[in-house]
Amino acid sequence: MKMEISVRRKVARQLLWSAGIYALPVVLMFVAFAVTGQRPWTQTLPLSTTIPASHLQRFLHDYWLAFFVLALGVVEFACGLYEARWTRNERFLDIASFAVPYVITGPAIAYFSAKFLPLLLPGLHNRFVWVPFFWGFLIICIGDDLTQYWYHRLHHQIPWLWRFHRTHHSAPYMGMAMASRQNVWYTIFFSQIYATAALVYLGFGRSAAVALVIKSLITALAHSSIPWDKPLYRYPALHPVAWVLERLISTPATHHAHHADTSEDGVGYYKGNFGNMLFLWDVLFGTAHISRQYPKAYGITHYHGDPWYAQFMWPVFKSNIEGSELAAHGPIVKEDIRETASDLSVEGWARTEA
Amino acid sequence: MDWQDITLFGKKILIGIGLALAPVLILLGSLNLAQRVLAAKTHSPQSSQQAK
Repeated sequence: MKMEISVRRKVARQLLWSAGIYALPVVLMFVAFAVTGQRPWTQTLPLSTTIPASHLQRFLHDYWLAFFVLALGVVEFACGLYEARWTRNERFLDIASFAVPYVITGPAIAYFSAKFLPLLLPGLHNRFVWVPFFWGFLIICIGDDLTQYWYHRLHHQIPWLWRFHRTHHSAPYMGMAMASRQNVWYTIFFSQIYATAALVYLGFGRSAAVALVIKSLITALAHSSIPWDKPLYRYPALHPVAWVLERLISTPATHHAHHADTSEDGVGYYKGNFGNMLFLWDVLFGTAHISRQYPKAYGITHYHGDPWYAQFMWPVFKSNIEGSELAAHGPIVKEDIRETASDLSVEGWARTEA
Repeated sequence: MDWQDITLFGKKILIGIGLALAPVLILLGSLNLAQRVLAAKTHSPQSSQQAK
């Protein structure tokens, strides 16, 4: 099974455009320097950052985001937002997907980045530490999030990559846990983590710290079942704010649409809305669908509760559900039950190309 | 895991490496190039004045 030629051409063309977008903040920054006469690389900058003193303060400093996301999950659970759909199997999967990146993959990637980056980029440690915070922030936001957009989009549009991402879409509910619910190999090979680690090594540490916290908050809240964006659509005075926000960042409405079990009702749109922090990429590349409504149902119509370990570790462990995409001899992409044959002509959508 | 799965992993890693390398190389290249151009621009009027 291969990508359609038209999709391949479109993706190749847009990847070329993306190369220009990556360079755009750098070009703008140097135009600003040329106009203002600034030459910040000629100045020596202090590299130290303030780190809280006590163990408790350090712990909170490092893990406050994890606590925030956990607290959000507790609120969702207490409000009954998972209803009866959070079965034992789904619970195990959500908890493993949440914990493993914090406990194993994150520290491992940080360790190996610290070991290998000096070998891969010798003599470039803190080479660009002089970049002003604002420009560094812009460079990281674009560098990290555009890379994740492409990583995510390719897992939907290249059929053989779909099964590595299927776990993120299999749950019939939305919630904070969905932000981290992934196949472990999808998480380990996240391209933007390595790109951002390299940028941190090059001297963008402070900008990255702020940008990644903002990104994590936006991503967690876009997956959350707390619809914080609804008041923006309800009150006319807030409509201009809504118009800008829903085009700039991922909102619960646009991201829930991406997790809908159908694209046929005018609300759900699992064929697009790939942006994580910034929705701007979807607007720019024509993969956006803004409906301001929430889907009636989430997940995959042909999902029958594959075991959590198969969803988490596929292809190392396979599903015992016959006909599942994660089973030993299952289809690469299974046709959605509710989608009709007409949907097969929709360009490049993995879930309908059996 | 069979041979097909290992091939799949290999292809996935290659795509991942490509997606990670592209922004780093573009940013590294554009930052270096722009800095050199501006630095050269700053030095050239001084050196031409010194020559006089």
